[in-house]
Amino acid sequence: MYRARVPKQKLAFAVAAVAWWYICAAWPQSPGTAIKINEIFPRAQTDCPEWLELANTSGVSINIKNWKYGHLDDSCLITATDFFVPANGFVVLTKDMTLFSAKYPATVSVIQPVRWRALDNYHDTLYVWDSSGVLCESAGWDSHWFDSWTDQSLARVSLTVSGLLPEAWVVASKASPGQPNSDAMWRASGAQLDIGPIPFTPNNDGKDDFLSIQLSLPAAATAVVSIYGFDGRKYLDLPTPPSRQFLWNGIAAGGRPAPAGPFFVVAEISENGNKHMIRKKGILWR
Amino acid sequence: MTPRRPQGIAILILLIAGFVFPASREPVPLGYSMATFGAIIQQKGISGREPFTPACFYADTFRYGVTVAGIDYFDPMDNLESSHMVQVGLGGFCSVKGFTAKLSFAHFDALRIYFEQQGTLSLGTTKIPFVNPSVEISGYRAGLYTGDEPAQTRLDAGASALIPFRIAAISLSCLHIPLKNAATEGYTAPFTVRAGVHTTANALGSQGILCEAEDDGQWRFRLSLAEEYWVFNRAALAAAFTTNPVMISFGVTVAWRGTAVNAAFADHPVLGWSKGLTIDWAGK
Repeated sequence: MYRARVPKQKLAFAVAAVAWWYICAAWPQSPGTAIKINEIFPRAQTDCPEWLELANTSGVSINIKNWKYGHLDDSCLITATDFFVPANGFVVLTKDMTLFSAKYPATVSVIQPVRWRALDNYHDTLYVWDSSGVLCESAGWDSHWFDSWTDQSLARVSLTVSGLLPEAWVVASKASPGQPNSDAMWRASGAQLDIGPIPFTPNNDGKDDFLSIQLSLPAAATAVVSIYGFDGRKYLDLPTPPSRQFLWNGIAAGGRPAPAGPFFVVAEISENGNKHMIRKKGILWR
Repeated sequence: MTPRRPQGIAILILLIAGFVFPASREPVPLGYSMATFGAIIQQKGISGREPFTPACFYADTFRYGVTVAGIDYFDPMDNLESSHMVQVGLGGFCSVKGFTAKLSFAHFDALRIYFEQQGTLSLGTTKIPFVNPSVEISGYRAGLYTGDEPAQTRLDAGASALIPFRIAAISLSCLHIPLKNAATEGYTAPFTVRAGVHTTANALGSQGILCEAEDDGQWRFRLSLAEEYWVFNRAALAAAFTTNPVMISFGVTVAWRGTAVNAAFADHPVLGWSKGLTIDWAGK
């Protein structure tokens, strides 16, 4: 009778390799949250104080009462009273609300924290903590990242890339506190697709119930945006032509809730006769 | 006394595997079947003995074996590039006097945010004339690594049968019969019925057709066609095509006595390539 013989060392190596893969795959990592630092103005002028803009990337409003921002060793309370950042909306934090409002009278969602943590003109890192003290956002900048940064604001060009990375930021052609950074996104990389939050949880608990799908297209381009499930089947096509922003409630085309797990948002872009795809991964949890 | 190391390792892995099978809505099956979408079944071969398939598919002389398998799903995409969607499976079989037990465990990780674990026990026999039946029971657990929300669990049953003839076999399977549902909608796998015809090895290799119907609110159908060709029983090439979604796959297997290594690739026209590796070892 035949008996298989496997060298012990080879067997041990195979088991160890599989074990290592398993451990790497299973290692936990925190997901991002819905509040993002979206624009920063650290180089104050005589007519404009320092400010930074927070964006709510979720489909529901978020109360930032008792949230903090600042450095790891020096955090400042944003507000001690209820303040709701609207769904897919913005709030601006500034050192001097009076001066800021004189410069940007159309921006109404503004908070002046009791104590202002000064922003460094050249390189700095900012953190945001929620009311439970959980670190939920971080962003940084360095003047060496930009060729022509004088007194402009820095605009976030992607909310899915870490705010600590150079590719997340560009020098804004025009400051847009309280508004989307659409000009910067257009200029940054042509067609762009952003989704968030990851994971999103369409369970009607008032938190992260919608997936925000933001599409920026050059004027000459058209796109078809679709959502696919992990099984490779298409859940639905977004309405065409795609709007700048679409909120998905986790319901597939047949009217049934999409199953929990991974999904994919795919934009098939046609531009000047050329076609290419932008594909994003996400997680749905109920 | 001569230590019985291989048997010991097999038993140890089976015990570690516990009782929890591949992600419930996987686009391609885990293990050796990835290259054929499960349409090639050889009772005496790797496809029959892999632990991720029902026990009734096996009728060989090996008495035990273990398999490890992994899949990295789809292309890297434009966000979270360093985070993959991977599944690792581990399992084994034990066959004594016409009765076969297969036990498997799989862990699926998506972006290091979401996980699914599945364990399946399948018991089958070749003792009944004309038909080899088996029953399966699978436990599932899904959750987020953050632990902010409770993990969801469910229990499914399944039944399969293989009717072997001289030139081909017919397979029938019912999967995902719910025994215990998850607390929240969205974690169930659709009730699935499969039927297939799988030829035995012939001058053109082995061929298989697998028809699948899923009741996911509405019935969805899938057809898979596969071809596998062995060269001197040492190496095999396999290729397959499936519908809904349309995918193609191919794989290469190298076998030496009771050990086999298989590399498989499956392509989705939009989501890209999935890559799989399976190592299988069986002993007598």
